[in-house]
Amino acid sequence: MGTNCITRFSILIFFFSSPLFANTFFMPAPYNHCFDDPYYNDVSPPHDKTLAIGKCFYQTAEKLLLDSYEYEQHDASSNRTHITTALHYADSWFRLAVQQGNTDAVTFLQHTERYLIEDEQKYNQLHTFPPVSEGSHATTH
Amino acid sequence: MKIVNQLSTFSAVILLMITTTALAKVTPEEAARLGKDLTPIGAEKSGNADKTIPEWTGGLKKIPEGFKPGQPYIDPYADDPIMFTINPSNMDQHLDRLTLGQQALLKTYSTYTMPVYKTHRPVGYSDELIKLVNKNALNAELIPSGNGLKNSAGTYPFPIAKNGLEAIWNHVRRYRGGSLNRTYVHATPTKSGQYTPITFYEEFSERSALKDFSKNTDDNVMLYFKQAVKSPARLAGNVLLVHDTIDQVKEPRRAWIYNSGQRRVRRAPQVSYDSPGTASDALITADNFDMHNGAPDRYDWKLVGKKELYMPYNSYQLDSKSLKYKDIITPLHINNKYARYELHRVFEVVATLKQGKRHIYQKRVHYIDEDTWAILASDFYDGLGNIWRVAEGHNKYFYDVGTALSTVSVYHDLISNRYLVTGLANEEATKFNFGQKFSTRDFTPSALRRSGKR
Repeated sequence: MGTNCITRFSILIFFFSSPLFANTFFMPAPYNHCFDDPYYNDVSPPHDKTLAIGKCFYQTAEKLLLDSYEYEQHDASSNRTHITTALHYADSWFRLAVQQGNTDAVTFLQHTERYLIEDEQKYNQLHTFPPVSEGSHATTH
Repeated sequence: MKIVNQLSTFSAVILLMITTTALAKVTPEEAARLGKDLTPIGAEKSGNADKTIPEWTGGLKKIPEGFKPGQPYIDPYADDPIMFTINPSNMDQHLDRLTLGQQALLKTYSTYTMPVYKTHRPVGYSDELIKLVNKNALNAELIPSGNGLKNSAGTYPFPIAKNGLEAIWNHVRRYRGGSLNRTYVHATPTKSGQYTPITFYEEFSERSALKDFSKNTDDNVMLYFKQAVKSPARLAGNVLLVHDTIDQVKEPRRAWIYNSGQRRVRRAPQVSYDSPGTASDALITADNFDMHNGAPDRYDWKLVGKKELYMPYNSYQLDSKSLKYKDIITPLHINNKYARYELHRVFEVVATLKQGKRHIYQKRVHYIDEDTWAILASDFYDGLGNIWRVAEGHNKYFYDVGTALSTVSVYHDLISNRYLVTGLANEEATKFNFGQKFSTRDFTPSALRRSGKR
């Protein structure tokens, strides 16, 4: 009886701590706190605030990337979605900051783009075909 | 005196003509095409040259025998055979009939297929709707910023759309049956196909369909929407309420969230633009819902023209009660064996992010059905100029109500190789219940708390 209980408990602990659990039961997005920034919904925030929001997403993506190495043996596609999406959010904020004249944002934008390109290259290695880019295809009509 | 009178009359006529020209979206001559060579909502009535798209002859003539309102819809085209199936190995023969997003899906997933069937144009329009659209053709206008409408009598403000903004407003203001409630499931499978179904219950009403509708109350609101999560247990009880405004720049969308854990109602200004969609695991944005919703102000919209493309259409089989969710939700993409594609004429509308504006989609390309003004497919580009996400809205004509809506929508993320499928109701008792009589009281923040009870 006691052994059974311990076994069941261990199975539960294993299940709840596995990445599969995280994937299947919807953890909140790890960068949700970035949306809480009071300037997030501002039509044209000051350039330093724009940069700060971009950094929030960027730093979250970096942290997730480090964490992702631990999950390589598992189906970590949810984590991967969050990394890519966080990087795209960062990219959009850094682009705006650059347009607003924030010089620090240029470096961040370059770094983000490098991450994104590496991410897409990793994706290319997994597939026979490269992703479709606007210039790489004849128009359909 | 006679000359003065004549001059006055002449001036009045000129003034009237100028005023009319300023107000009218199309000339009376153009508007007169509606119902003649154009359908009542502005599609080409005739078929295409090679007869693969038929003439519109008023829509589905007869409701399938045995259908009862409230019961599952009977597929009027169930006997149609598949004409051919597009797959990665033969897609090159069909490139001119595929969107770039569809091409990307076929190139990315070796198992992706598109079964193509004979084209049908089942959508019909009521006399009441036709009257409204005729009125709109002559009167509806975009406000100068493009972020709102004036003189619009409800649905389909621009049946003869002249630009991308007018086309996208037709999608946003298309006829959805007035009011409804629905229960459906959505899922975000991992790459290996693991998923937890999330059940939603929604209530929707056009402002004009409210039982206590008053012309002068809340006149900047176009629709009311409430969405409650019913399962799984850890998300159940969370409710979203939206009052969607027409001019969202003048008055942003009003949104509230009831959090069942905290038992609190909070304002939710983040439910707009590119914030993540509810329980979407970061696979869609708030403005992806219903293929596109919300303010158009962050983009420049261009109407590229019309194309004949294979679009998800008449998707009755995908909605069949004989299917289980596991039959449809498969790794990497849905099981397209149950999908139906037909050749249809669509408007291609390209939205490019404005200078000084921000969104995670640098560009979005929408394909809008000529017979419904509904977006049937979309491609979303990232900041690097690559197609990142691809969406398809599998529509179905609800013949007892006279509206065609996306019954199942699929949003693919090509980088993470995942997708979100929403609108599934195969295992639910009912899905769409049209003609619900809601009042403004059903869409107040205090109503949220009541809806949130588990």
